[in-house]
Amino acid sequence: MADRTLLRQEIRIYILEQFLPGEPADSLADDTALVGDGILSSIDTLKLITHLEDTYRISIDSHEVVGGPLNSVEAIVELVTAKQARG
Amino acid sequence: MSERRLHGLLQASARRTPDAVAVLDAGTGTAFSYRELDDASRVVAEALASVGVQAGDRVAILVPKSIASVTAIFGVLAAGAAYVPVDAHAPASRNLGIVETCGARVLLASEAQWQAVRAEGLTSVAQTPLTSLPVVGGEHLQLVVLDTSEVDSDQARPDLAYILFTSGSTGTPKGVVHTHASALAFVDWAHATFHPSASDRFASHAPFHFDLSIFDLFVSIMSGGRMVLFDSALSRNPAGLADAAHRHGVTVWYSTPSTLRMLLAWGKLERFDYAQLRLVLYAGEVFSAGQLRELAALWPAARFANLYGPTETNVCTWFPVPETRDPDRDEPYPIGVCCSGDHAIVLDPSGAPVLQGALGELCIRGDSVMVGYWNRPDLTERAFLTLSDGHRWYRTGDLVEEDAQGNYVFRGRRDRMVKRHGYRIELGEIENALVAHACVLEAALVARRDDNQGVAIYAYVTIRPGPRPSLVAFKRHCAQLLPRYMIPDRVVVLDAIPKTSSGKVAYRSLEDRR
Repeated sequence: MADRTLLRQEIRIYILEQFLPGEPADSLADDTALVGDGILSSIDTLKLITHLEDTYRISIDSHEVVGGPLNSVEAIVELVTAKQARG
Repeated sequence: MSERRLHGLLQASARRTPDAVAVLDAGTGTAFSYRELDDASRVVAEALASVGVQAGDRVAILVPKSIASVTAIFGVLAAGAAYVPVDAHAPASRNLGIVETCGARVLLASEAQWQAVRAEGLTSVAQTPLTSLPVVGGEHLQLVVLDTSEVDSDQARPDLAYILFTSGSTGTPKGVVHTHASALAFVDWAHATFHPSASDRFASHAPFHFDLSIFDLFVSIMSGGRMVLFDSALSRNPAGLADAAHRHGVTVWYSTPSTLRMLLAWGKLERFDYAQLRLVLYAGEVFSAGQLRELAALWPAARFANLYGPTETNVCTWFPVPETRDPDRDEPYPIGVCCSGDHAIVLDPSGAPVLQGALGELCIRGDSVMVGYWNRPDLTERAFLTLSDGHRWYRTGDLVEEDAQGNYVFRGRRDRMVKRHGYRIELGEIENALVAHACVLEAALVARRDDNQGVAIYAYVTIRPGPRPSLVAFKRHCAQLLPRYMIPDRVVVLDAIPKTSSGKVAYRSLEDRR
């Protein structure tokens, strides 16, 4: 559970620093719709995927790029955790 | 007047090669042969005729990119009506506005899209229950008959083919009206220039509300080749797109430079050899010569050409990139020379032609040019200029120079229209959306060059006294009103928007801010 909390924190910080610079941390909730609310552009999404793949040594498939699995901090935590568990 | 019609291209190919694959959905693997596509579009046409649709009527199509949406387009054309493609991924409020503005007699929609516009307040439904047309793989088109009695337009002519809505500077999208003849002028030119054949496989990358799709839809069908559909999910996924283009043996590629840049950066193109890819066309934005060289090294069998033309003119100039490319060239290639059937002139601000090499506005007339803007005679009048030669010229707003070889070279815009991912954006439309936020008093936008997406959009706003909304809140607000590509990257709250001595927004001053 501690790892999951740390992961959530890392991902939140990355998104805030990269895509919402200068914004207060509380403006981004764990369930904020990153794609649906226009927070991430399509290019931002690609940068995020590259970051996740490089940082967590996972591979993200094409069908996971758009929509649900990447649409919130919490969903990203789920995706990364599940992929790491599968090795 | 020509009697040829766009759907006649499908009927001719269906007679010639009925069993060849006409369209294949790269996402689902579903395919339609020419016979199946022709038969299914006839079913749509008959259903439209049965509810009274006739020549000059508009049928809005609100269906995610799929074989069903291709069927709907050819079905509408076969019924003699004009299709109005609507972005299934844009906010329902914007889509509802387009459906109502064009005075659509019928809406063809997927079930989800129909529910979305109904929830948004589409009230002009004239007939229930709805007709549900099965198309392919369990997909259905909902046929919604609308009451359009309040809409009146003398543009509802029998040769109307389609209306494409683009961003409008006053905050309302404007509809570009094309006839079968103006579309076929471009399609015939492309066919004669690039010699596509039944063995070609066309990457259909652009969504159908974007004008690049005219090539994908009609040049491919005319050639008897295969249209390979990349839906919006695949189009935003460069590694998947690169894989699908290779797997499906794409031979002809047409997209914006934004997509090509995305493929270069994230597509991992070096995984494949792309030996079959013979022709790469790009349009809608400037593409640097360096990036083109980089791509050409990965796609060695391909010839490259830059196509140019606003939605209003279809493609009207083109430039075949020389196969021997200068390794030190930095400047983008020219937009080239006129396509057959079109004519260009470069004018100074007084409307006088400039000398070769001087900067001026590119104006176009000819077979591929639009009729005008739907139901907006004021905008249409401003868009055209009648010169002393008696001809009516479309003012592109693009500033060009003619080089020593007679090619036009793009230098910039005379107004605030910008391109992002190849889409036209009138910054005024985003300003209007921001001002609709309860906290915003005033908004002024500038665009700054961005190598990845064309431009980055910066919004400067003043707000009412009280708590300051976060960037997340501003973006969420815009996402409810605007397509995703129009959402500003940054929103900066200022004490006051800088003004000129005459009280207008000092955009230059905002552009200089960092």
